[in-house]
Amino acid sequence: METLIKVEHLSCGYSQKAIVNDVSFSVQAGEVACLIGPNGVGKTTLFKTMLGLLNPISGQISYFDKPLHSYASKEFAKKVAYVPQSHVPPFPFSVRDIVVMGRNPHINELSQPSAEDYEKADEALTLMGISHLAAQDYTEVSGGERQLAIIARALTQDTKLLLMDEPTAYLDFGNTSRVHQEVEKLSDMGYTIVMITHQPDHVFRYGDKVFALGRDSKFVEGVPEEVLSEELLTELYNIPIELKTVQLREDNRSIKVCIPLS
Amino acid sequence: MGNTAAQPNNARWRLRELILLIAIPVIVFIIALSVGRYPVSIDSLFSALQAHLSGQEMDASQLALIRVRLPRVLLAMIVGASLSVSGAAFQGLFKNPVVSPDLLGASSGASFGAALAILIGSGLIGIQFSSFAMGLVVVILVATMNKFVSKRANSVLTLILCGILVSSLFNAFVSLIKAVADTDTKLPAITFWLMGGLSATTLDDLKVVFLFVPTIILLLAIRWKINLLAMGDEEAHMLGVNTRLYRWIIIGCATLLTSMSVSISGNVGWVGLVVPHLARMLVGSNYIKLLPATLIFGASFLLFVDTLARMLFTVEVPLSIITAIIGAPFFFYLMLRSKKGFGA
Repeated sequence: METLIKVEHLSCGYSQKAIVNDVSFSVQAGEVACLIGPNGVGKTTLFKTMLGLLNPISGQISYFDKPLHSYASKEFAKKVAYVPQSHVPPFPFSVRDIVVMGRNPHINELSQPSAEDYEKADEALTLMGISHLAAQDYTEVSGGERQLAIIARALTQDTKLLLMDEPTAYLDFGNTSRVHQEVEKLSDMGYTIVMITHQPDHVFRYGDKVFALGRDSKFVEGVPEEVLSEELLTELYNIPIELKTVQLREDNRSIKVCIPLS
Repeated sequence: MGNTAAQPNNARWRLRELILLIAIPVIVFIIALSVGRYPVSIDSLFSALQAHLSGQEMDASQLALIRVRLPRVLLAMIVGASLSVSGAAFQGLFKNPVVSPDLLGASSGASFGAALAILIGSGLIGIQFSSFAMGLVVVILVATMNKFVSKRANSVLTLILCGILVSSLFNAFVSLIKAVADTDTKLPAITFWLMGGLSATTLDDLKVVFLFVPTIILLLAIRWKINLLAMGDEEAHMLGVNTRLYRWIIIGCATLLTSMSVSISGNVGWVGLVVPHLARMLVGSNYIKLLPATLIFGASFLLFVDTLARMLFTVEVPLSIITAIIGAPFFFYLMLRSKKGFGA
């Protein structure tokens, strides 16, 4: 299987002070990889380093067998789409204006989006189920809808690989589930996804692979079913945890859930 | 899928918007040319223009119109367009709807640069260049200060406060230069430059178009990227934008337009803040439409203000007085109207 991301002996942090120490992992085509860990262990630092926004202290990162540092930003944006946590920009752009920004790597420096680019944006909006919001102000739609729009924007970049920074941050229960449903749909369509998440339940449900980052430079990777044990989760989050397998009434499917005991 | 067809594309021009963007400047232009101490009827306006273009003999009133009023009208439009477009560009670049060339200190930096160059006895080119360079220095200084301060408390207000701080510093430097300048030669030259005003313009002053047109064309060509930059540097970078390059192009062009305006008409406040908002009310926030609309409204607005300045009293009123009288209350109205408020 094709290796899309390869991280070798990576240490990263700010001003030469390593927060994440000597981690190695890879992501294969078609996988959903989840990055979990408690607050403050450097998930975001690792993510920003993987995106090229921070320079690594040591180690290598490569995408599609090419080192990250040798990519120009436009070239990288054609290969890898970043889905940030949605935020409200200072100007009320329309949802479609925001989504079409994803076409930037395919648009010449002195040009503007063409009718075709707007078509791509509308297709992505339709795929995310929010085509009815196209002309509305991005600043006025709900947080969940904003996040779906940001995912739609990433889709217009025409990449195989999506890097999502906690796509369900600040979302309510329903919107969280809605966004995860769309992420699952994208995975079924063949996208390779790496995302930060805070809920072990979601890792069991959607993840093919998990990277767990803990205190004191602890790093564990593997298949969620195999490596995410009660012991590891208890150690990561510093609370007693029980894992249960429950069977859904709806389709008799078994899923693993994580219950905090404190 | 049928839904998307029903959603109009906000990035395309609507008929109503196009009509306003053509009608407003044309009407203001005709009024500005025809009213004044020597009123000109629309008929003779056209015959004078025709005579000028075909090189025919003109009578005294036609000459006054072409040699005096027309250059003034065109310069007013250039100044208005420059200040407004640079305001809109700065607002997008700094992700801040309440900045303008004057609040960012670009204008006072440009004034200081001009005063300094006059003091050390530079020629015209030297004065222009020094004005542009100091405007640039101030904008970069304010942006850098904001970067440090906003690490602790990020708010649209920190940038404004840094701007006010640096502006007042550079205004003080200008006063210092005036205090030490030779009162017979240098001081009048500095005062004349800084006060500006459009009352003594000639056809010769229109040379600034050679600076104005290319700068505006460059900004218009990259206007869509301002949308992306307004999402934040990291996001724009991840979308494949060369953020450093575009930041320099935008700051350079906007500051050049500002320093050019200061050299023509002195320090005219409010235009760069108010006009982009006026344009947003009509065409929305997307820079694809916003920048051209700002250009046209800015030109029309300052032409309107300059016409008032000529007409209101028997003596000419400085432009900055009228822009403040219109701008300040209008801006308060915008603050009341904005849903989220401008703070935080």
